[in-house]
Amino acid sequence: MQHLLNEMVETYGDRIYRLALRYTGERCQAQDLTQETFLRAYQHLDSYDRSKPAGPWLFKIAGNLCRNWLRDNREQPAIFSEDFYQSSDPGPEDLYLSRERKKELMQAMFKMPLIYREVLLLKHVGELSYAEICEALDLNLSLVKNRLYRGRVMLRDYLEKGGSN
Amino acid sequence: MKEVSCPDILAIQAFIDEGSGGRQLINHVENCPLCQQVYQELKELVAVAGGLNSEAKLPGCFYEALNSRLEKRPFPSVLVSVLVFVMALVSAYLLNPDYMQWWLSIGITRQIGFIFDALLDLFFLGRSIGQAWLVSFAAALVTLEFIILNKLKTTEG
Repeated sequence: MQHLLNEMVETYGDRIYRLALRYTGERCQAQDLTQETFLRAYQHLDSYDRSKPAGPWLFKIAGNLCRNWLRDNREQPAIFSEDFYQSSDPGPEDLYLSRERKKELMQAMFKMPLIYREVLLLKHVGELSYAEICEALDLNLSLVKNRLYRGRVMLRDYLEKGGSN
Repeated sequence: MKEVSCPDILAIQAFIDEGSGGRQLINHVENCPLCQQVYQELKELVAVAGGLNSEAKLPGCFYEALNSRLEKRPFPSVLVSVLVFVMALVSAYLLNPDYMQWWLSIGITRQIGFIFDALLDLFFLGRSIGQAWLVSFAAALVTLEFIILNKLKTTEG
């Protein structure tokens, strides 16, 4: 059982951590949520269908935990935390986008309604396919495509508005 | 002007995201100026949203922290099953001291069989209903036992 869990951590750990980081904005909180995701997965390994990839199942658990975290910490200005804009190991995208640009992007993301934000995060941070997003959020394909499109448009619009202010 | 055969914007988005739509869609987009414009716009939208990702990685100590929490978790269900079993045995003895005589009379093989059955049943019951429920159930049972024993003592006394 533990071997299976370790495989899951190896495959999905970083992506779940990044997702949690986008929701909480703090490394410690994101690590806690990632840990809790895998602990819950371990407790419910019996209900996991091993013929399918574990990704959607794990992201479903992580998404629920992140939503609960948001609900309990609504007043917390996570978006202003330094962790939010920096990654421990900057990659090409981080280098490309300046820190200010990244800040604007995250602020724009936080302005979006949660239903669009969660689809965008699963696609771009969780790197899930459409089918996997459907499974993780219990939505049908057309709704996922629609929310993804509208979310992307909203993100661009918020950025443009932010830039013009 | 948009042609009747032009694909839906979501179909073009799916093509960018997942490569779905096949040769037919690629051919159409390549030859339709309007769809090419939509395609470019969508590519920009995808690039902007792509900035949400980062290269952050879990710290090296994550596995150790997770494993230490994993090792702690199964403990209560074993402990609680043993406690419930011992409590049942003690309360049976307190209610009727002859019970121990019966227990000694059944022989070592049956004694081991009973102990194993009871412990396993309690353990798997605990795992299936969840540890928190098992702890609550055990606590309620202990309280009930004490109330009953106290009542009996008062009645007899």
